Amino acid sequence: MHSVMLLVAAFCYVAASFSFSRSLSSTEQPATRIAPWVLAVGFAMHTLDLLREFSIGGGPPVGSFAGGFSFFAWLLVALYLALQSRLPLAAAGAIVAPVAFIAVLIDALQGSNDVAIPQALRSPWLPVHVTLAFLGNAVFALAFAVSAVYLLQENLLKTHRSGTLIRRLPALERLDRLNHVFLVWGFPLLTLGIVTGGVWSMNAWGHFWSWEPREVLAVLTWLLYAGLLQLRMLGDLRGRRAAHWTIAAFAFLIVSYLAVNILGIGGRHGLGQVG
Amino acid sequence: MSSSLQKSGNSRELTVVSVSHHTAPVAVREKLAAACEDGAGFLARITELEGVQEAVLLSTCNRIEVVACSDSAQHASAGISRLLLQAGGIADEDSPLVATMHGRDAARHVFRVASSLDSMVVGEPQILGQMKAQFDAAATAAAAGPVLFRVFNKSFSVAKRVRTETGIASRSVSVAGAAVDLASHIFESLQGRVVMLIGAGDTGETAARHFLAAGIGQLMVVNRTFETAVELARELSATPLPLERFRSYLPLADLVVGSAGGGQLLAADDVKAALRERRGKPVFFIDLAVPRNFHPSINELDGAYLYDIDELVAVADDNLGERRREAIRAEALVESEVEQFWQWFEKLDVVPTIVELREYADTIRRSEVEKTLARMSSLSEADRERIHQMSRAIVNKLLHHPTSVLKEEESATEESRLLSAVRRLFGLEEGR
Repeated sequence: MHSVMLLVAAFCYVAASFSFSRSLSSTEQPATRIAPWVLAVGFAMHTLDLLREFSIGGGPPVGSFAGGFSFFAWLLVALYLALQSRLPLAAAGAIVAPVAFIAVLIDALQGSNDVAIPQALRSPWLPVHVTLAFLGNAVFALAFAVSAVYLLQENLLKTHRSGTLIRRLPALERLDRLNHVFLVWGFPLLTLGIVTGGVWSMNAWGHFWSWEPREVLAVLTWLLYAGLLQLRMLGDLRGRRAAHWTIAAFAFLIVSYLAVNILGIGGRHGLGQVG
Repeated sequence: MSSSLQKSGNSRELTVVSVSHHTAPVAVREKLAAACEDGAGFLARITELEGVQEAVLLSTCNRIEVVACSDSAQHASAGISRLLLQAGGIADEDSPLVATMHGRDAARHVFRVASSLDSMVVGEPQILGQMKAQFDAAATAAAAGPVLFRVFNKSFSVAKRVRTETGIASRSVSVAGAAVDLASHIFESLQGRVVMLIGAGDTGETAARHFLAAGIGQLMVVNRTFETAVELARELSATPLPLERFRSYLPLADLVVGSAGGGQLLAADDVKAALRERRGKPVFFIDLAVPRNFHPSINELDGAYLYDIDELVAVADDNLGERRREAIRAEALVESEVEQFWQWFEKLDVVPTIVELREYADTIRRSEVEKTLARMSSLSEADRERIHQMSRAIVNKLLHHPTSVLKEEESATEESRLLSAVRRLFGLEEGR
């Protein structure tokens, strides 16, 4: 069933997207102030819809791809809103808001997410595992967003272009520092997501690890981010190269997520194979 | 442009008499500025003119202006013009060097000057501070009173709005300013940064002073003639370096400014080595020299950002164009503020204020009486009328004294103080 709240959320997210991008090109101030509020209203509606789904499904609505994507977008918006008073990054908002819009739109079009999760898999570890894994992904999405903005700003500076956009984007150094911060926060969340997944598997099937494709991809992702973080912390990787690697790592994360959830190569993580 | 609502006797008309960069060459402005040096003395001569109640003198390098409030704008502007022309040593009575504005136009002018829309370099930030200081001086000398206080106070808040809501002053239009701006897109803050200046000439010094004002931590000055480097370094509390040795200090510098004669001083390989030692921390190269000091291929290195003089001039020009576009928006903003202010300002007359006060009191009276009568259905028509009459009598008696004080006040200054008090006490303040 379509939820009115979800449609309102979609509307707010698309309005916030326009508002954020407008604030990047306009010299007028008000749009910058409005955009986060519109995003927040969308977030409130999105939250209500998730609560509804939660009450139906007994857990986060991750039984379907659309539900999972929507939940991920919700975490991403939550993170952005939590951080935005400390880092007024309209440029990142201009990336977060459209992503949230697409996720919510797919969710609304697809309709019901209440793919029943089999009793055998229902455990308190499920929401913990899913939330931590998705939170890690959301933090990496922010790392991706600041890296993309870094490359844009660097390009403007290298090609000596002036204009409003360059003034609206944060300083290169700041974007680079945020990339580091998000990697530092995302990595332990990813690690905990994998570990709690193992614990859940232990509870459900009695084994921690089963070498299914999803698990192998998760380990590869973990190694990729571990290497990236290691090089950053040693001070050998920064600026443009760090941005490139962060974008590549996130692309790998997304591709492996899609491979598992849409192509269905994912064992019990895949759709319709839950159990 | 006097208000039609004014009662006879006390009227307050706004006038600006202006000798500015629009009307007079710098030679005349200089002479006038020197003559007006004793601001308080000159102001006293203006307020001694017949009918002039208040006056403020604005004197900057671009303008010498008197903003005055008087009985008659025509009269006052003629008198003030004469004083200004005398001070400037100009014999011609109807000199085109002097411009006069009255009423709403005068208010608009003051707002535009405060917002830096009338400046030679539109958007320059100094004018507002100068105006504030000169208004304070006039207030201290008791030349400025409540009317000009309102005009100036409003002009300050309009200027603030223009500053925050338009991009009129947000971009540097000088080459050195543009370089500082660009640096802030690379570095989070310039606090504690190390700047290396190569070439201790005037161009380099100007740039260095801009960076020092932006709060950099340390300055190194390199020059072919070491003594010149030492001299400038002493003046700017910087560290002098001889030209032969500057490459070994290059890894320390976050910003490198080139303004030395004699062509190329740094090739891509020199910078590559420095960047390696800096482990990729970014460096901003600013080449102000012709021929250029830094090889253009430096810009292609990872972590190095190079702007030469042409590129910086292009940025500054672009910023100037942007300022002009923003100025159009600022003019519209000022216009709407003038409109609002003028409506309010005109109401600050006795007659409209008394009318409003009576309307206000009568509205309250009627609604209270009707409320009471609604609960007293047994009363006859005659009794009801009697109650109405009584309530009218109370209102009239209460308002009688304040109204006659307002009508009889002789001094314009005191009158406008009373008017604003009445408007405030009875909540007739709309339009503010």
